[in-house]
Amino acid sequence: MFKLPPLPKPEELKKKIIDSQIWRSMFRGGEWKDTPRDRAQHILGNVWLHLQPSRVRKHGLKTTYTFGLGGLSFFLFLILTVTGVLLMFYYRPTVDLAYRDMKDLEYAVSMGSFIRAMHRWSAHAMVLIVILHMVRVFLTGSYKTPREFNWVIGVVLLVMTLLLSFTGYLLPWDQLALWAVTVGTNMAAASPMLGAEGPFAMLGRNNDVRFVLLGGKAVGANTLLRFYVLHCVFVPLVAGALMIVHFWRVRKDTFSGPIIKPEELPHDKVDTWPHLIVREYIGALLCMVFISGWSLLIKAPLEEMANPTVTPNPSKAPWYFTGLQELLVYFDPWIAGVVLPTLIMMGLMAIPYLDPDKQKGVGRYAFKERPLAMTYFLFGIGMWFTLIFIGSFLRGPNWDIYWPWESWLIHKPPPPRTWSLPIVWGLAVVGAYFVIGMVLPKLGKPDFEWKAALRNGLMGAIGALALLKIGTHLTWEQLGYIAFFGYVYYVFGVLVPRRHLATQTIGRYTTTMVLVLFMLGVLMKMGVRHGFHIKYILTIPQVNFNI
Amino acid sequence: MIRKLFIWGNVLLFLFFLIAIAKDTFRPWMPYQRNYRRMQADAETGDTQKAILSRPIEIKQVLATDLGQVDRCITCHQGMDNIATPSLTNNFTENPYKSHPGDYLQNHAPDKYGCVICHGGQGIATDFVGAGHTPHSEAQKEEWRRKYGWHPAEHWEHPMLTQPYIQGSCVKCHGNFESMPETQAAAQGKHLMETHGCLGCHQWHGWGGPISVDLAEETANKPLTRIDFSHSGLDAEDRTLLNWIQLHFLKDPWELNPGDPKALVNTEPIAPSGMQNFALPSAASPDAGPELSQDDAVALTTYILSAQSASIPHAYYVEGPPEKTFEQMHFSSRIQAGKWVYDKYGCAACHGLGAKGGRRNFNYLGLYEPALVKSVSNYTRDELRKKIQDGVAVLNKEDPKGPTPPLYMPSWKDKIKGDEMESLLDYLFSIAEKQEEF
Repeated sequence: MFKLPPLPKPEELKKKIIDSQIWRSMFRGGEWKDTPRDRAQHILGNVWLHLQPSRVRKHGLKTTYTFGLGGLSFFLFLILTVTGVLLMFYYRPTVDLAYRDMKDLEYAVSMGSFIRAMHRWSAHAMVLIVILHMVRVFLTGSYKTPREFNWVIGVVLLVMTLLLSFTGYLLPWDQLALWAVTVGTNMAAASPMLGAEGPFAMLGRNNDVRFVLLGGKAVGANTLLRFYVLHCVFVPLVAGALMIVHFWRVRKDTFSGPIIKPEELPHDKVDTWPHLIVREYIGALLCMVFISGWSLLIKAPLEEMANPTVTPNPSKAPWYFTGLQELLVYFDPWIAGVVLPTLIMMGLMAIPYLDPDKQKGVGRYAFKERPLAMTYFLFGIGMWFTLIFIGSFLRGPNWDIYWPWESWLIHKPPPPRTWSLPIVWGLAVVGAYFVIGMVLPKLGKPDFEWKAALRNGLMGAIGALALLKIGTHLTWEQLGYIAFFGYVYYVFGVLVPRRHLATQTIGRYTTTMVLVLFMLGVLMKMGVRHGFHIKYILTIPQVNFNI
Repeated sequence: MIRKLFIWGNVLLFLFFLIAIAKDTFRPWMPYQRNYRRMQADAETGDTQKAILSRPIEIKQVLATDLGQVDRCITCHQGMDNIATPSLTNNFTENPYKSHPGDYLQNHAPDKYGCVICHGGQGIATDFVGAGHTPHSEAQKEEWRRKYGWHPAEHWEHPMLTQPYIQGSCVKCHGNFESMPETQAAAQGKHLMETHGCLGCHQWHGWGGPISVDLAEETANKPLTRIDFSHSGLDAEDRTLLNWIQLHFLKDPWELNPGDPKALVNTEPIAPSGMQNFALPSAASPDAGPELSQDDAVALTTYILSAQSASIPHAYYVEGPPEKTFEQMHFSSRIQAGKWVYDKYGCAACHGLGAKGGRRNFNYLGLYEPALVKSVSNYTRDELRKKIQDGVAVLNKEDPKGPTPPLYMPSWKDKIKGDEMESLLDYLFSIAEKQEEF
């Protein structure tokens, strides 16, 4: 009788497989022995893992140092790539079919609803996580020499992330998509010179930047195709290329951390495999658990089919742009939609080069060592998210304020009538704001008493209020706004720079103070609008220039 | 810690994927199809039974290419699928299994027409809520809420139509609907529209007075975004176009659409709706019930909804009898002819049924349009003719600072001409009350 040969023991079998020509041809290195050499080899010999060093400092492993935000951004990008490719199998970017394909994904395609939800929620999460990653890198001073350029690339990647999300927003071709993109691209039409509706416009509606973006004068079939190609091919390629540079520079510039003094050598390095890899895996795992759980619970939104003749009231931009949209209340579109975002991006890129001290506070959350940088950065981030919160949650029909518990069916009275300063006064006020703003922090001693200064400011504000109430017809509400914004200016436009900035070299002082005045200027405009009902401080209607 | 996270994270992720796959595998429509197959097989034996039981469980759909629709209703409603039920009839009494009542499907092959073109709803959806089912009564609504977690389909403006509103769908193709027994509500709606003066202010496909919107082109196709439900008192789930139209006949339009006469919100005062309160008795018969009853309101809504646009090939239309012109009509008297003209041009919109009472007009001097029975005898025949031909601009406000009154007399000289005008004058003078001699 035919007899089977005895089965080899598991260890023997394993050895046989690992030693086979096929296995050895695919995987470098022999049997895993868990020696330091093997662990290093595991990282160095693997194309996916070798972007990491084979050994890392313990300092970089702490969860509370990085929160794994950069890795999570990349992992979300991977989720988005995979789900995005799956969605592409069912999606046709034409006006007639796009919306129907969305419905098919929802009701007929296997796992369609789940995958679309994952794609949607991961996209929102990625925008948020990328912003938080940037905040973290700033707070730990990780952008300082020699990592300045990588920070700049990071800022560009942030823009790419926003572009990816924004171009994807249009693809479902529902009302939400059409009007969010309309709001977004109308801001482009307000660009100075390049937009047909901006100041100093040189181009017509047939060839301005909005026309280039939309492939027409309004969102239509061309726009859908354009955004599809941008979303699925162009921006991912650019972002991917930049990501390679970003990771490469992280590796080459080494992870940020406190400077190691010679007496501390040899330092506390551990093997990347398993210490870092397991943490990365768990970060990605928890992210995946969260995203898939969320996607099981909540479907991706899909409103009525896009209809260019029916405008929802209100039409809101995607959430990360509602902050800028909220600023449209106070500024013309070319400022809120073009100049401010450009200034924000330029300002962000300039940060590592403006920072006077290349060593201070690197590798930890050093609020005390970098008070000026921390104050203004967090102030700006706080402003950004406050505006987003107001725009997303507190604005209802006609862009009136509606509390979240209020019905949108209530009709609100119109905003009070506004007025503009005559041009001479306007020039004087704007000029005075910048000149006095530059001088004020220089007056007075940098080593003032904080408590006394704050108290004096408060007293001054109350005194001014009393005088204004007696001398003018302003309401208490208006006075409240004036006092609030005035006090904010006093603290962040006078006291903080007087303490921390006035002692810098004149070049640095001027550049930084101009940026600070621009940032505070946004708030000051809000202040004069609410306080004095001023529409424009300076208006030159001949060239469409209003601020 | 790390080990725990590793294990629990992986377990949870695996679980979520199982749930996702389970949700995808066990879809809510599957049991209905399986039940139907079993119920059908129970009545058969042998090979027929085997053939029935081997029918795959899958999404079934009608591609109504002419109408540009994809309807998946038959995925659950298998009694109306001509593959599962070639005869299109069965003995089941429960939805979703029962076959279509009546002989509609004999004349409207379901594989050509689909379902949505008549019933409304979201044909592409494959679950109960997404399909846009509409309950026909409060009791059914409650039952559906319990059984299916019913709520109106989100972001879908055309929920299914119940009787009699669905008759509007028949009217889309059937020009002869007035003579069909199944569409009497729509026919009644058309009749009411012609006799209560709707077309004095509104238009129907362009025909009618210039004062308000076109009921067919605009009202019937109004997107929900453009409707201000603030004063409708409707719950969020009842805010549909159908209810909006119907409320205009059941509620005071001044309440529904109050404008802003005191300029509280706008810089200019805006008058409330010019429309009558049809929930009140008409001036012609003050002791009767409301001018339009609940049934009348339903009939009017049905007829208005028939104008909802749908891309239907022209070959689908059934020609109805042409509208009769004045010359083609046979009147027993000049007065009757004049009454016909009075109704045709919607004079009742402002001057009331039978010219007996002037309708209200916000902030118009005296607040009411003239009651012709009283005012006509102040004019000579020529004066009255000229007045009708030229119209009356609104110059006289009750409150000079208030809004412009919404109603005015348009110029009729291009519309009411020749014999029509003369018979109208005959009619008006015939009903005029004699002025007392002083």
